[in-house]
Amino acid sequence: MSRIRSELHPDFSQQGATLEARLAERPAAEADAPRESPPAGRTGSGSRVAAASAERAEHRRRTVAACLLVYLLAQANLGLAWDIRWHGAVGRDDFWTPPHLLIYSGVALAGLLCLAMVLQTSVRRWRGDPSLDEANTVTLFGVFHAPLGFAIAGFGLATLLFAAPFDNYWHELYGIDVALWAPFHLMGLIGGGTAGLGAIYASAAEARRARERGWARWRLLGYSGLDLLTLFAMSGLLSGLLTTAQPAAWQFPTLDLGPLRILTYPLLLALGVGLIGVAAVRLAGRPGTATLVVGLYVVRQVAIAAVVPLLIRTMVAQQGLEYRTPTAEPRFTLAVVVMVVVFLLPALAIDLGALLLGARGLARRRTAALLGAAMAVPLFAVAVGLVYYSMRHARAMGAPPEILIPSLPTASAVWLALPLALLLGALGGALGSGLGAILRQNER
Amino acid sequence: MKPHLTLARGLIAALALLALAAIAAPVPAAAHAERPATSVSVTAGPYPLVVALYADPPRAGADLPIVVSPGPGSRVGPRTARVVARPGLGVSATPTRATLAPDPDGPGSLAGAVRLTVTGPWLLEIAVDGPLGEAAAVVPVTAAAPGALPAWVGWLIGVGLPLGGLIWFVIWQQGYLRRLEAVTQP
Repeated sequence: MSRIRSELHPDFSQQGATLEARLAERPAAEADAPRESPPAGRTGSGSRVAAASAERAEHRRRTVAACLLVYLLAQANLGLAWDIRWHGAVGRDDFWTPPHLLIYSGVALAGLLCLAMVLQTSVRRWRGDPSLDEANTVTLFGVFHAPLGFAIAGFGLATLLFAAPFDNYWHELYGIDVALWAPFHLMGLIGGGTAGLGAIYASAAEARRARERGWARWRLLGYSGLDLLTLFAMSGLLSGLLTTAQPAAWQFPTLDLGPLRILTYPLLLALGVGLIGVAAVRLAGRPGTATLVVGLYVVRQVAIAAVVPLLIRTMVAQQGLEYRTPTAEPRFTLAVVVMVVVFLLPALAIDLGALLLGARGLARRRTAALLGAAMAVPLFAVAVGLVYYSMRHARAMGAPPEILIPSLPTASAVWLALPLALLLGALGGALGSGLGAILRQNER
Repeated sequence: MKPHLTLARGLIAALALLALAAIAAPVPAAAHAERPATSVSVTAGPYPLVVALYADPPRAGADLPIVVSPGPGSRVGPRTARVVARPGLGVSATPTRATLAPDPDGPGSLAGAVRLTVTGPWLLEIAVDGPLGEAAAVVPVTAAAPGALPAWVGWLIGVGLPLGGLIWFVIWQQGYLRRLEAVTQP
């Protein structure tokens, strides 16, 4: 790690070399270069100070952009939660409903932000800006240059925007689909998730830069401001994954493979929670981080659950709309809080495992996979409980009247899901270890 | 091969097998999450029946989910049902068949799906068998033209392409991580 710190200390006057080539060349060059007195009136340290200053300025630019990106995606996330409740309570008579406006304004502004980052980085690199090179940018289509996080987020947002007109057309062809699991809904969710991943990359890269250069002054519970921003962005991605998995809790509870029926919700949760939880611990290098990320998710969801019913009631009253059924008017309930707080259990399992194995042990994929599988056990219990509760109370929770609530899954469907949940938890853990390692080391 | 690569590839292979199995699995009997688009009351011999159709109009080339339930006032319902879709006048097509299976979401009901292959009028001949013997009823339907964006194309564009992109990204990042780790752990 100290070798990385010394070798990546910025001297961005070297243009065109790959990261590996620069790292290979620098030790020999520094070892062989004779120590000379600087010429009178001009010190070699002057250029290094200028380079450091330029790097600091670039870091500030990217930090501000990362904060904006995380905020705009959180706005879109709020709009999505509002939209899902809006469909159930009011219906869909127009594309330009208030929640859609909130979603797409957030998405559009975030997209413009990513585009601006790509363009200004590209122009500065073409002009030979010494603060930019292959160590802190990626090349797109052989022409453009951008910070990696903003490139990923940009692709995700483009996917999401591309899905919108297709979704509209799909509704015109096939009617109002009452399932989140429709092709272009899922396309939008995958795009949104990719954008969330980009926001994590963007903030984690700056967190690493600040950490390695000693720029992080303020800390809370040992986490810098940029660390907390990264973890907040991770809670947003977790929110997106759990929202995408939601229909499996009550509308499509089983995966039907011929005569076999397998409970679906635990499988999706095991993969998603394992991925995010292990990645968080691996990124921060500290047990407790998984619980912190899920804690941030809980705070987000409780805030959304409190605000969304109020927004719906206000808009319905303002626009003179009607609820689909007399019982469709949304309310904040304690059940919603409980249904998100329970996710702290598997997060605590991850952190306990990291404490016992050592956070650094998660660098080994096998260890991370074992931890993911172990986490899947309490998660399985949580998931089964959520499925049975959601199916029994679906109408009270706002399920539209045209949706037929399936019958409760059988015991065999539940038990068949357990080994698959362990397998997917292991996969999530292994992937999370890799993701966390990249986020911890990446500065592009 | 490094252990972690073996593990990762094994896990991904297992996941891919599961995904393939899910895609290749036949349409389950109860593949109807919504309420029926239309219901028709018919009588098949001694059995009063309610035939629920989950698309109105059904589209040519797509499966039409059907649920056959005992009608109101029926003392006993059929145990098995078979649907034969016969093309109507002017429709150049071959009859299609489907055997309905007990619907786990509706006790006493039988569910399945039949495919209307060509646009135009069709007759759904529902042959039932039960404690009161064999009987049949006919339900006329008209298959509408297929959607301009077939469902499978929608799923391919909507889910296949983005997931493909994500898988490519994961593979790319695996290579990037190997380069990063080679630098930190020579």
